[in-house]
Amino acid sequence: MSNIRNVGELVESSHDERQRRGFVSSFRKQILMGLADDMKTIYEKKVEPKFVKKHGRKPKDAREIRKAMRHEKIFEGWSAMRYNAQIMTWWSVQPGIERQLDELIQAADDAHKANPAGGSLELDPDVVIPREVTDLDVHHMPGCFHTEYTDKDVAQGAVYHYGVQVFYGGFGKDVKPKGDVAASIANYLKLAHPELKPKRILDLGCTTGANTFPYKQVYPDAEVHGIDVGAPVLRFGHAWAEAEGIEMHFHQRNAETPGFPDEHFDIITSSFFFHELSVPATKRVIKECYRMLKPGGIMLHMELPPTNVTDTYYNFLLDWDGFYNNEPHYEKFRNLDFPKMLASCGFEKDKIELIRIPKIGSTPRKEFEAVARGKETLKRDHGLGRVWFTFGGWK
Amino acid sequence: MPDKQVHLPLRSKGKRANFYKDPAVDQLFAIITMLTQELSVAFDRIETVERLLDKNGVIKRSDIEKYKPDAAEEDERTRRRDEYIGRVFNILHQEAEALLDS
Repeated sequence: MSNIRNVGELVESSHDERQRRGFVSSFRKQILMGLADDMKTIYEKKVEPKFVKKHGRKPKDAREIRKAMRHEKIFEGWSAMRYNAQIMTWWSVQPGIERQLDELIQAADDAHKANPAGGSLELDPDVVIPREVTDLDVHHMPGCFHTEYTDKDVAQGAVYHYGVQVFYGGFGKDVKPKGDVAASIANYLKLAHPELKPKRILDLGCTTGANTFPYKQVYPDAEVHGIDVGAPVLRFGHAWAEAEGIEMHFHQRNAETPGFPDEHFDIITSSFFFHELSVPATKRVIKECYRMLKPGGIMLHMELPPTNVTDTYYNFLLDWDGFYNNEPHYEKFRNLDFPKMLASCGFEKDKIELIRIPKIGSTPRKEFEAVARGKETLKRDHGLGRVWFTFGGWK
Repeated sequence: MPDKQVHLPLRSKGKRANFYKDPAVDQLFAIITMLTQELSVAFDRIETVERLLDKNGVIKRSDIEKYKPDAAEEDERTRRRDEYIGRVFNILHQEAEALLDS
């Protein structure tokens, strides 16, 4: 091991900054649990009966629920709390990052030069950064994934990395936020398809790589690549991976024009990526995935579940982000007919996969294995937040 | 290396969401939420001071900055914050409670 400093653990906080984060965790917990239950109670006991009385039927989609809930005091208050919690999350990590930015940049540069794990970082200053990223700050993270304030900047990578930790701060000890999506998908694929021996794996929109690393851990012989348009998140991710001793290859590329050769990858994946894209962009990216996929390889992306597999009230809750969390394509993405969209991008109908994968961090190992090996049907549902929805297909 | 202090922006680009008919209410909500957080932090600081005084009798500022509660104390703090937030924002919870009671 080298003695480079780990950018993922380097930022120190003052007493009050730590307590501010503690507050955000408690605040988020009350919003997502207690008050969310209250909102559902008010919907079921008051708003829905009123709607049924007026229209002679239940609301048919999330939009109708939203319209009926829009001026309920609980919806206004819950939304205002949630919105402010989102902003507070980023604010709670920014001061420490500002203070230690020189050190972070130095540590990232040292990691880049020493490269102890043997990974790589390829930056392209001419990469086309899509409007989805430049026009508005996704998740209200000021500066988004791409803004650079100084030479060799890693600030936005750090804001994202440390901010995401705050999100997972207050939900009990059994939650392992680090890369649960990728750990679940990679372990699932290995158990369900032992014949799959990937040589190269690609993760789209990898940001700082938390959901890329697990592929290297599960498939140590594979070359693992991650692409993203944001230089600061990639610099940070590369430095973090090197300090953690994980060989990863980061590239600043746009997933619509990734530029890798045909039939180059055995697994192509992503997590929470596509709902930030417009539907036409989604199709362009899926077509590129098909082109880059080796025959016999699999593309499997984790995403929010589509509208038609979850109940109407849950859709109303999920779509909140589309309206208020700077994610304008969210609702249209969820309304897609996935098999149809995949078929239109080149995938054969009988090779399309829509898999609900148990969350590995919160599912007993035996149950996870039984589900992956097809010996047990998945009983968990999206609404309980116990599964990751994935879509894709084999080539 | 940056030769001057970088200041990260606080405002996020894109439309600000308003949930109330009068956007001034949304502004007040934001102000109250931030104030609630700062009061919570002040509580925590007092608690740290008290605990250090109990333990050592005398304290330096740097002791406060370095202070990290152990797991049991962290749980206690979390419980206190949960109750505190529950009290401050209780008005939002009352309608559902009344519906469940009726």
